[in-house]
Amino acid sequence: MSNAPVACGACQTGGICGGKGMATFKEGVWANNPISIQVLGICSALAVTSKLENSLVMGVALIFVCVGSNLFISLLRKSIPRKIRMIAEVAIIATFVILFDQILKAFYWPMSLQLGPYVGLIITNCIVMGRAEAFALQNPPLVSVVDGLANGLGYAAVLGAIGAFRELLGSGSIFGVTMLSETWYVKNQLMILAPGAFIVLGFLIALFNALNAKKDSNDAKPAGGH
Amino acid sequence: MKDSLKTIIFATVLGVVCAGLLAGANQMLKPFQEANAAAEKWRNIFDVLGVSYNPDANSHELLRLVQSPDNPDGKVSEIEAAGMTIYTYDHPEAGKLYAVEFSGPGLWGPIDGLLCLKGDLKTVFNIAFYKQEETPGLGGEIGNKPKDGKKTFTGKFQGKTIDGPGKAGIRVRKPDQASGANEVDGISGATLTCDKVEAMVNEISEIVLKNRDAILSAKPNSGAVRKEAGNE
Repeated sequence: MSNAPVACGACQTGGICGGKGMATFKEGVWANNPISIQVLGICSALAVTSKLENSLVMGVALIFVCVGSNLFISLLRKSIPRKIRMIAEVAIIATFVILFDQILKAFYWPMSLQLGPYVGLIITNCIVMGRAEAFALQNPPLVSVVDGLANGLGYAAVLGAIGAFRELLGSGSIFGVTMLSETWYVKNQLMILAPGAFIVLGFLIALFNALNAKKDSNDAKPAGGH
Repeated sequence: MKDSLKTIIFATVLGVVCAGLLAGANQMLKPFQEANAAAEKWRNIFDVLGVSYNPDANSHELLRLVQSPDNPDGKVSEIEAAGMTIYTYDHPEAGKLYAVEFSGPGLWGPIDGLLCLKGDLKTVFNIAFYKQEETPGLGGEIGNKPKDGKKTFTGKFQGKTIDGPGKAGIRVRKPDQASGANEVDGISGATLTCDKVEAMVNEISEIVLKNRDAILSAKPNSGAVRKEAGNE
């Protein structure tokens, strides 16, 4: 994902994103990944990742919400009164979250049952609010969409990685297809339970930090949140 | 003053637009969601009654199955007795079956289930706890359906009787200690879940046994199934 111009091909200086598209994209997916670097939104990253499919649907949900809310908050950024900007952000975010939850209930019922309250809880996800506050309020719509997409993808990628590990080790399968035969593999119950998620996430963050430390040792790393 | 007026107008417009959007989406998606919920209910009932159906069937196909009066697999009828709705089905091997819904508190959240009895209204044909939030891997075992001959917790209820000796219902014993015709082995490490499951099974068993004659003599509400499905 580092070299290919995935976000927008026209992103040279003076391109449609004002030259910021590619940098914004890399920032969200890798250099400032919402989960592994900023450690935001890990509540859902721990709760829904016992299966790969659930993790990816949750990732799609976050991409949808992040892109949608960033776009509209950016469009409204000059007319939102400062005093109520957070309430306005939450209202827009909540609209997108509920919309996604309703669509899931209508067309992907089994998944909706499995994800339970966690789709609705995206409203309180720090990543979405964080991108709205930190990016969409200061930037034009198009590059805000790129930012939302990048952060959503960054979240989805980490969730997918955790989900793949947990499902493989905990249930011996990937996407519900058995990979490790029960005849010689004893399923690791720990991976299905919450501690397994913490352990996998811990290893992933360590890996990200090790890789980033090599590339740039002076990078200041913001931390905290849930 | 001017600022607060602008704030109020912005908040009002935003609120109305968001609410309008969601209301519209809700109106458009409602039929699909209701069909899903209804199909989910019938899937649970079909499972516990041993009705054969295509497990990959989507909500729409499943409801068509319920609606179709001449489909042999759709011949599940409802009877009203003792203030409950009971689902009956003529199983090709086990004969007449009765399924009744029950619910009660679990360890972490409410548990919903279906108890399916044979024609004598005493012998358990099947039991299912289709909605539960018990500890995954421990109490959560109650949610597993018996499949491929693998014995699950619910599978142990099959063939047991809810009619004594002693209190109506089933005794959930400590693992490997069940011996009587109304006793099943509990789940190791899930004593609290087992206690709660036993309590709700006992409760519904007592109601069924008390109203046994009324249930056995009740007439099926013909077309009830079709009518309900037709609403969506």
